[in-house]
Amino acid sequence: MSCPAPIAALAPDLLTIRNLRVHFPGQTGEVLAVDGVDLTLRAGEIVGLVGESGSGKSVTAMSILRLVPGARSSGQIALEGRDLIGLGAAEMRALRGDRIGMVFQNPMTSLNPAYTIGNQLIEAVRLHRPLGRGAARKLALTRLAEVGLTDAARVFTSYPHELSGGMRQRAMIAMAMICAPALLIADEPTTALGVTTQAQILHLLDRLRREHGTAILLITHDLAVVAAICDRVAVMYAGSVVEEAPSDDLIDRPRHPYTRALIEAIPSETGDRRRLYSIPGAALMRPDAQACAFAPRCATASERCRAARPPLITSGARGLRCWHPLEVSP
Amino acid sequence: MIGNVIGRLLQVLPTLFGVLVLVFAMTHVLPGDPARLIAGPEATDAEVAGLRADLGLDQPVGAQFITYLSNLSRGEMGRSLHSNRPVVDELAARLPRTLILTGLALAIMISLGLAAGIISAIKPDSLRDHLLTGLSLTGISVPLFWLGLMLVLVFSYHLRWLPTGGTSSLRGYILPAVTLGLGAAAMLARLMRSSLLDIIHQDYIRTARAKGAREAVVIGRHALRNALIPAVTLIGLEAGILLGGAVIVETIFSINGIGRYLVQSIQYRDYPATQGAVLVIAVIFITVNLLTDLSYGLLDPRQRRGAA
Repeated sequence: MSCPAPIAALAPDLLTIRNLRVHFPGQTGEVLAVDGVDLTLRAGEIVGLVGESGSGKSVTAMSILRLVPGARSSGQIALEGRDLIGLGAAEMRALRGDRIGMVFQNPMTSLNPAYTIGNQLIEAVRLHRPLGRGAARKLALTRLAEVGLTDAARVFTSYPHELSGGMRQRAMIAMAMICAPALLIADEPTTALGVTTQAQILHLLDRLRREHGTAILLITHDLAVVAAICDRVAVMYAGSVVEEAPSDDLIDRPRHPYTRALIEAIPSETGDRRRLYSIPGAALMRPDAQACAFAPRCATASERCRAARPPLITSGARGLRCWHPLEVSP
Repeated sequence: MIGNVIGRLLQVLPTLFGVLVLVFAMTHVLPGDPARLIAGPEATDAEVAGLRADLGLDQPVGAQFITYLSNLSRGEMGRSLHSNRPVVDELAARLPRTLILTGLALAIMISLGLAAGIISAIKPDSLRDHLLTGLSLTGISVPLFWLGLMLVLVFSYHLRWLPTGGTSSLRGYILPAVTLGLGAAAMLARLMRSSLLDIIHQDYIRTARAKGAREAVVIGRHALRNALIPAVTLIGLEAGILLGGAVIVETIFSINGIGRYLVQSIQYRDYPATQGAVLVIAVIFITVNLLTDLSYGLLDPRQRRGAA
């Protein structure tokens, strides 16, 4: 299902993140959750943001919406040319749910149990569009049908607890897509679902971006998800992007030792019975700012890696933050 | 929904029966012979025996209970031994006062309790949160009789703003209702604070923010409705406790309601009056609990159509 998406390559930049840093004030000084992330999304493009838990990928995504409680962000986040970090609260609210849609990991808990699906969808429309209830209802039913809920009218009058996990996630996607946003942020949208449902949801996201031209930032820890639908991938480690490349390229020819380790950690589908591979060590919560964050776990780390943090070097479609990139056979 | 209502109503019947058995048993379990008590210390044994036969007390207990039930079904609760007036009439005259008192106290509890809890939870650990939390802790700790006396001392005796009680106008109910409602309000404020704080961290609150809803909508529409579910339980329980508190408050403020009547009836060993008052209080309590149970369905759809 991987697609080269030629449209995306020519499209203008929709979202540009430059040197994003997110701090949390903690008991023992500030914690730097995101340490200089650079990322660009073009219109209609699906970009995967991959990393382990705690790598800062969700914080990066929520920072775009400015919905990280208690955090302080610096750097630049621009959507359609507007800087989001400096935006007033009311202007930011006007973007949430309208230009930027959000789908969360757990469809069981992300919908309000006290209101029907229809009620929650209508609310999402009317927060941003001057539509009457009838028109809003019509749009909601259209979106529900669009996300593959065949019995849209029944789902509309259902409460969340009356639907299956897959149906809830579809309803959640319908709600996020209700105003046809330019950007959809999907934070682990398939992690809480069964395998068949996972594939269906990914397929749905891919179809929606084709139909609406919505760019999707897909946050996941699962490289198989990336391989399935992403045009490009950014790999995050300890708060920064360590490698970025078109997804086929990245999976076939990883250049960062961490990326290769992630790929090797995917269980083989060919029935290979050898032990599951795991990356030795654990990611540090507070890596040394003067060194490569991955150095303590890296087999190829040298003195240089421990003495200086490598910069993000871009060449062509690829970006890399490593002193000793892996050789790639042409 | 309708099946649910009928089910709840049916569940009330055994409770009601249990109450009737207990109220009836009171006369038989408590020490002392009612007939001798009524007849007075001067009466001869023959007079007492005659009275006992008149009252039906010589019948088997089962037959007496049936008679009690059949009288009750005709609205008969006997005559007060003290005033010799029908207990039903005495209760009917006093019931409105108790209902006004507890109703006002309930209104004070709900309005103050919810408001304080919400204000605290919106900005946890702020100055106003600490202030309200401190106040509510005080409210819970202060005994009812002391609070009542202090309010009278300040607002009636020194400031002369409000009467010390009396039921001729609604003004007379203000101090008693505040006395009765304040502790319950404090309890509700604490519950509402923790319940709302818990809800505010739920994923669907994040979803509401991500939709672009204003914070007032996020709290008022998305958080509050879910946070009210535990609050309703407490309000139902507190309504019963308020009835108990009314016994004390009516005595302090000399309000001639059911509570005060109950205390006096017990002092006079007025069995029919005591039975009647206890029965009325029990029925009110059962009704409030029934309403509480039914209101869950309105707030929480998961209880309405069966959980997934």
